[in-house]
Amino acid sequence: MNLTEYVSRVGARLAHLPTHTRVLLAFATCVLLMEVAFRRFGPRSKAYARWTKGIEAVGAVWTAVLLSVVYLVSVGPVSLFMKLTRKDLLDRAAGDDPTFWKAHEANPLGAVAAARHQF
Amino acid sequence: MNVLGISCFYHDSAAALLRDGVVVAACQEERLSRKKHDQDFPARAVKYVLKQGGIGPGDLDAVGFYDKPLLKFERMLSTYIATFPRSFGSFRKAMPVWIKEKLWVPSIIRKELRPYKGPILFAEHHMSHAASCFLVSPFEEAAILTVDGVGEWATASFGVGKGSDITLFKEIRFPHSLGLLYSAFTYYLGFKVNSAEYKVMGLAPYGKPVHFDRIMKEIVHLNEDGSFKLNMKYFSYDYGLTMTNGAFSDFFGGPPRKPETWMTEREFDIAASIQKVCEEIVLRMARYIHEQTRLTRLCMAGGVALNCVANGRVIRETRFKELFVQPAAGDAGGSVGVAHYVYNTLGKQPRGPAWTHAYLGPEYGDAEIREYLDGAGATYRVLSDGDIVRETARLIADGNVIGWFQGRMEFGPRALGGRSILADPRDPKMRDILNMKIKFREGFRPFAPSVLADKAPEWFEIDCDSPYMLLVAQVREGKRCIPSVTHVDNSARLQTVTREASPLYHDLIAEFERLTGVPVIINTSFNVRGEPIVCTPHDAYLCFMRTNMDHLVLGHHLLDKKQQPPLREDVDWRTQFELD
Repeated sequence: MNLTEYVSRVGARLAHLPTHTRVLLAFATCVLLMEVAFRRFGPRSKAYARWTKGIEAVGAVWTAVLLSVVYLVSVGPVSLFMKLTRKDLLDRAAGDDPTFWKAHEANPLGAVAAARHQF
Repeated sequence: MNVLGISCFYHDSAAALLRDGVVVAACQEERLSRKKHDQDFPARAVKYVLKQGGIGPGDLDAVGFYDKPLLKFERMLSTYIATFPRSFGSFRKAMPVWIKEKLWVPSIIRKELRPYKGPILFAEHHMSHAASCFLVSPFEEAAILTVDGVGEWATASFGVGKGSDITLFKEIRFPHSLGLLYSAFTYYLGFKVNSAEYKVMGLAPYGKPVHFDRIMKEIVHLNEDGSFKLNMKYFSYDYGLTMTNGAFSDFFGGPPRKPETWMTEREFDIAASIQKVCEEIVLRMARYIHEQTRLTRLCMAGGVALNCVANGRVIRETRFKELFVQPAAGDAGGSVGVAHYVYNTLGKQPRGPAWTHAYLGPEYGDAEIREYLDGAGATYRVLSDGDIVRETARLIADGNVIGWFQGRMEFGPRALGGRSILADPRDPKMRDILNMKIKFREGFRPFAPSVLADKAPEWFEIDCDSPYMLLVAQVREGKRCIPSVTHVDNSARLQTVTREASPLYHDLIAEFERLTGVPVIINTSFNVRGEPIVCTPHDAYLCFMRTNMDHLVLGHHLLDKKQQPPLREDVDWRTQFELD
């Protein structure tokens, strides 16, 4: 397969994609091209600084959206389960215990092996 | 064997280099980056300590990190689960930082320390604190108490150190934390958390602990053994972006004080109350630890160990006869702790000599200082050792305020005569002059005295050394002629100075005594409010020129403010530093 044939095949495949996918792809391509162009021709320009700020703002919004979903989908159900089973991971209830000191648990791996891990 | 210790990604990042069990250099990143409480990876500090040791990253045998990031992450996730859905704001703010940085500590260390290929070892946060105090202390065997905000899960722990071994017995776990309790009140009183806790301590003597009983009844459930739980109904630090909530405000009859606003008796009384609570908890903990260990020597570290009023009571009111507090008791000291833990405890190596001073930072020779001063167009005189001492003592006795820059910079939050502003403690106006015209800080804040160690018991109610300015003692009744370092309750946070630890500084105070009969001078950190303590001659000269200091002593160079050319500045320096 030569290059022309390859490009026309990719073009045909893209033409069959749904409109919204094509719009998203076109948008992503434009962003990529703009970024490459700025880096090549005006890495210290004010326009590039503004462009970066704008893209970071979009990133912040998306991060918030994604983290909201993660929070609701992962933290929410576990929390609900804990509440239903009346388990408090933070041991907040005061109670009348004569002491609130807890034994320091030595790592079962032993001190030297444990030091190689972040846990 | 070269071991590098690193602490970072929370606050006060630092690096320390240990060679064959002896600290070659230790430095907080903030001093080099000029960003107060800098929490970023301490790239500059690492570069400095390696340079001081005359090695490159490839020559290191081990690198230690001061806590266990994954355990900390587990604690955070558990907290989010336990406080769902109120923890959403905190989750959204914290997660990007964890995902981007804090979960990749080994990768970051390897990238920053190329071509280092050796092991990266992790110690528990409170083990790092414990090692940072015990393994550099003069004690062969001692009880250890560490108290801070929070590490992984532990917020306080105690154990015993013997030789090179450390065993931690028990701990108190998050969210029940004395450090965070104190920080919550710091926040409520309008000060910056993880930064201005010492201001609450300084504010306390102005008030009466009228809320003590209420706090102990409703907010803190304290047992006789010093263990406690907090009533989390009053706090939001476990789920939110603030420390206290509406219930806390209702309890104290109003919202948190807005920063930089006027303070009233109400704030004084709240500060006095939380300070008394803090002291009560630390005292009970210390008594319990003595009961458990039967040892008479105690080592302390963790941010709460910087509460020198509580430390003073521990030595006076418990059965511990000797106390060693790590000069960099906060997280910065964790870098020293983990390096020692890796070398001594894990490596089973005997301990090196005990610390006698905290001068572990950068040093600048006369040639470097002169080169800088000439470049800046400064006017100066070069004096001999003897003349610099005599001239400076005379200037202080004449009421001048002196910037004092000598030898290696201190490691830890206190200026101990390496990077200090010095003045005459006999002048009752000196405190206001220093607060308002030199440091540009709140008027209520006291100043600390440096006193010749052998004269300390004569002037203060103390019978032990306090070389790191971490003990508070009363000024003796017949010696209250030093009003500028005597707090409203007649206490002082003193530094005892020996010739062995700091010859030039000792001689300066001795000369001041010869001139005035007083072996005490005011010693405050060489900086303005919000600025890290100066590190280089450039930092010192800028600070000198920007404030109303009268003279600057840089090594053997004496500068008179009146003779200096005006400083050409292109920035408004007061906006450069965020107020603490």
